[in-house]
Amino acid sequence: MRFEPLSLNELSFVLSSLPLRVDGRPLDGCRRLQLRHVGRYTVLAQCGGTQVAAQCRSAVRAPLPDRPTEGALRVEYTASPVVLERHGAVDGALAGRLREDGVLLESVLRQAPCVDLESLCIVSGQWVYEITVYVTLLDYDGNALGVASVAAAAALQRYARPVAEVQRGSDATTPPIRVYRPEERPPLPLTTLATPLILTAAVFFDDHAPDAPTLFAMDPLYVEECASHSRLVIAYDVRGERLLAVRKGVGAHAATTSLAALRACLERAIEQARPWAAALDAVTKPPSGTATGLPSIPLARVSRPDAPQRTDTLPTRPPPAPASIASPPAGVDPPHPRSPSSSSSSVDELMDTVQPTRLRGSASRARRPR
Amino acid sequence: MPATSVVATAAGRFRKTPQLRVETSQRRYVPCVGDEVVAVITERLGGELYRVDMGAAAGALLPALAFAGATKRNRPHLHAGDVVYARVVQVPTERRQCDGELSCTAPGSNKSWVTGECPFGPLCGGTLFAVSPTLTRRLRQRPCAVLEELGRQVAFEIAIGINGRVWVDSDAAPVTILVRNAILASERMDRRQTARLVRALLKATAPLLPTRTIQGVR
Repeated sequence: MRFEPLSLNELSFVLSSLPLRVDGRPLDGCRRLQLRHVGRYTVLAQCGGTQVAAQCRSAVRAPLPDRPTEGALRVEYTASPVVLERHGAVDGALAGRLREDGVLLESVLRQAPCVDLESLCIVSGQWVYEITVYVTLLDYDGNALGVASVAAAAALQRYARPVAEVQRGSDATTPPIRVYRPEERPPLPLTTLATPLILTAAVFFDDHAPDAPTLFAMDPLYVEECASHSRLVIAYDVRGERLLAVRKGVGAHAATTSLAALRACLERAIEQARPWAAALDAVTKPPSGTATGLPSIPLARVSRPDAPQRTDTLPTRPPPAPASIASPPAGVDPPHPRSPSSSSSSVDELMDTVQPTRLRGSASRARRPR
Repeated sequence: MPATSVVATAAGRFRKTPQLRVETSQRRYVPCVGDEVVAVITERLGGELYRVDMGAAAGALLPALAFAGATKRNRPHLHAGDVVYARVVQVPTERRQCDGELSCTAPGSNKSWVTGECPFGPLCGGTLFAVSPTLTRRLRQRPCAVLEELGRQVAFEIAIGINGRVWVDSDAAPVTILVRNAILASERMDRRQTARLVRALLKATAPLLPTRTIQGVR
């Protein structure tokens, strides 16, 4: 695909029609977000013309020497060749911006913290899980980072890692590990502690009229991003309702944003992100019996002996249950009212016993998407 | 052996008149001689030529003097990013490998590009957006439901290129935005739904529109 250039008419129309927006949205309005499962471990997020796919994979390896009890979380953020060719020629800085965005996404997911890294430890100092989220930008019409963050968070919430067990009776200093396939032992979901969301706003201001207010357009289109003077990135944890990070563009222009305007923009942005947060919550329902009716596209089965996480069937054999299964420890939230089905009840029991300190509450589940 | 069944080999809307066909929506425009396109200037080559992009597989050239009534002293000075409404005069074929060429002259009319009465020429102001091939065909047909509905209520200027690009301009930005969104939303609607869409959009944007455009409402 060749690149298609942006005309001056479009760019100046965006600027001259402010505070109206080209597609008729209010300044704070976000486009509708659609989240879909593809196969078992991939999530496809679509928002207007921007499409991002996110997939989780896990590997077992040695931990970092200064963090022996922590697993690892990595994010690989790339764009498909179609997007690079279509926008790379016009917007030569696209590859650089993708790299920056990938670093930001990874640090937001790590430090939210989205996944409890200590729960990924198998043998302290010797074996830990490394979860890699592969985020791919498939189509780009503005706000790639926001949609990518939703896709990555949804993929992490949906992912279940394979069970690994230490093989006893070996004399080696590093005991060997056996990773069980999903058919042998059911994979375990990750302990997610936070649901981070990254919101992007295009910043418009007038150099010649310093008294004119700075305008923030949330979830910008590609034309709006190209016409804007700066970009404001807000990382927000929806579950804990915490503000994680705010990133403003550098330069003399960005310094003219007043603190009051920034604060108002943050509050409005977080308010407007609620539909996206609801869509994220809805996607964490189990694959069998989706009450919200999210479409699911099953992939053809690929049989590879060294890829334990590729499967479409939910394993039905529950693990050996410890004594605390009947009475969960005090102070823990009761299990969520999921859609009842025989296989998911065993998964519920499994999750309550294996991770008794899950912080997910049922309050966040009560929201329904539009 | 006579054919006993008709099988569709492409995805799209099935039409029976004027002949059996399936309206697909591929994203690539293939230029033909005589097409009227909305093109964006990408480069100025010397003083004689502009390189333009019309959304086809290859770019095309637009001679600097190929404007209605243009002379060396009196011709538009265009830059990269400007938009023109032109017609295709030359297209590369297997027999003849050449650059595609456009022209903004209108043979058979003596209107000049300066006055803006010639339909071809530079398009100033307004905004540009891309539409699918099926919507382009519908917009260029007479009658067109969405354009007629809009034209009854608001005043605007529009240029529809066969290459799937549409340019819209009007006196007020809310009107341009209204027209753009009405056209994009009417892609899969019939006449009645289009009328309802335009009415609903007008009602929603009524406080923003300049009052004089509503006086002529029937």
